[in-house]
Amino acid sequence: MRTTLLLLAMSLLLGACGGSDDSNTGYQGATSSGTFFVKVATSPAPIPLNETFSADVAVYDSHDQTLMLDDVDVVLDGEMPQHGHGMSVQPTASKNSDGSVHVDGMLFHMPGTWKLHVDVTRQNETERATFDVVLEP
Amino acid sequence: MSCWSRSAARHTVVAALALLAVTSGCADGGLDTAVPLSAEHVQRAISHRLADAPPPPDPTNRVADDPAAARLGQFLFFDKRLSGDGRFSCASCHDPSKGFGDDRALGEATGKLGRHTPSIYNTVYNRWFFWDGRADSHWSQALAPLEHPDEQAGDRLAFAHLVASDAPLRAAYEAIFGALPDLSDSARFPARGRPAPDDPGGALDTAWRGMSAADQKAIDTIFVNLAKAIAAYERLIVARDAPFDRFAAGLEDGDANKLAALSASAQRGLRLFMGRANCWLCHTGPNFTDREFHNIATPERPGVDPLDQGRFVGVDLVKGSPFNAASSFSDAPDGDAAKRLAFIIATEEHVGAFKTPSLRNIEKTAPYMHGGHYATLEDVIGHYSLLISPSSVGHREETLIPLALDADETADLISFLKSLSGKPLAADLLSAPTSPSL
Repeated sequence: MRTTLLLLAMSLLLGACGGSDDSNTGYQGATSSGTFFVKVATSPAPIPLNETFSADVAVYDSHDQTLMLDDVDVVLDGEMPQHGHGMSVQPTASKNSDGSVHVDGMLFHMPGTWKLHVDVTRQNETERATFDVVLEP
Repeated sequence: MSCWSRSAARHTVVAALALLAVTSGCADGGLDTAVPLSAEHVQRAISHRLADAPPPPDPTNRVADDPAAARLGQFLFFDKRLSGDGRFSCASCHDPSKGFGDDRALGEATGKLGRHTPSIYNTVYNRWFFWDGRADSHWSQALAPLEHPDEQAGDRLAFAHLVASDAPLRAAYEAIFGALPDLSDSARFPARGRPAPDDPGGALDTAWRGMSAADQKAIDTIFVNLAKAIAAYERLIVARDAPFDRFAAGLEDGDANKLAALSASAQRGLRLFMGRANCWLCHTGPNFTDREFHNIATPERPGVDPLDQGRFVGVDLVKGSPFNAASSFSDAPDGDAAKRLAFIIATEEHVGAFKTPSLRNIEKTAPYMHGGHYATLEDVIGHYSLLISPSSVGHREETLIPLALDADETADLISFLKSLSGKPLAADLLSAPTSPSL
């Protein structure tokens, strides 16, 4: 299932709360306190409704977005605030050779608005970037 | 690519229709429907159409789409010899004349069960099986009732000996799965036996534990193969070409004849389903289910455990099943189903949650809910309209708010639900074939 062209256009107009998103290519934006800049690329893209997907997350120094950080922990999560629930799965994460993080087993099982959370932790300090993902059948 | 995926071309058409509605301001998107449908209703309706494409493959079952296996499976499905006392077959509870279910609130065969018998219609589209999802393939589901002491109460050693001793069954089996092992040594292969956690130390359990691991594996393989054949038959039980599907096709191509497939009442019901009532949030996709689990706060009723944990327990059961998609009995132990298994977890949200049932053929599959709580569709809609009972365990899905539907809206929603009944299956799928072989 894919988001229709119309909904893609609407989604782009509405924007994302954590930065910019183009669900065909990914999501990117600064974390809550501006320390990090994250880029999320999903496979498949856009995120499918009720089908497992994976993601690669790259974390950069927000002041130098050419510098990918590999001394950070990354957790990817999904939430439907209007429904009061998250995902029904627990994804697994592993490091790619370039320092980015590969996450397997994501599943957004219901239509509606999901929050894609990226939690970045370094030295016990965690910052979050959040992106809106609107899924329609 | 999954069976649900639509082509880019179709999305373009949908988007174009939606844009037409927006730009023209037509309430009905320019389509000749009996009641106005918004672009959103149209798009959602189209996304729920069950296409003519074959069902999704099941790589865990190498004979899933083998006609010879389906024939053997159909024969076994109706064969009462696959029970401990010869009184019950799969069809005893999954009766073709009763929507491949039964008309009892709670299942009953050798004993009484605490949950309603689900229909087999369209289970080919399932991700998980049983109300709690404790099986992850058609064939692993089929194994359980054959031995459950309150269902068919048979045992895998007896099944293996039946196949070995019945010439037509043996021929059909060996043509598909290869030669049976020699089971003639009764010391190695007792007449009856199975793992029996329900009766540890009993005769069945003792006989099973007395066997070598290799001989147990040989019997398990026969047992699994029989279930894979039954699964091949069950994959053919698909409700297709419902009036709704014809209507949704009309929404795609504008064909007035197709758009006439739904009455005005059913179209109003569709508008509710895809709109204000938000039924589509869980009953989503061409099989009208998200294939996941929700706590809908059904009321307490006699015979149903009010503390039934549902999916919360089902997660551990399927992950621990010796017959799951990642097991050595799976034909794709590294496939997508096995990978999916690795990611599931039991969360607080799963407590008291049960699988969203398909709404396909719902008119034929009363009573409803995991405990057979409601006898009629009016009662079901009344549940969602009022939501008066708190969850006896866990907490109710927060998406659910009382719909407060009036009598006319209830009637419209029922008209729509009845439009989900597919064309009758071929008659030769509805009874036992004369032979287990083609």
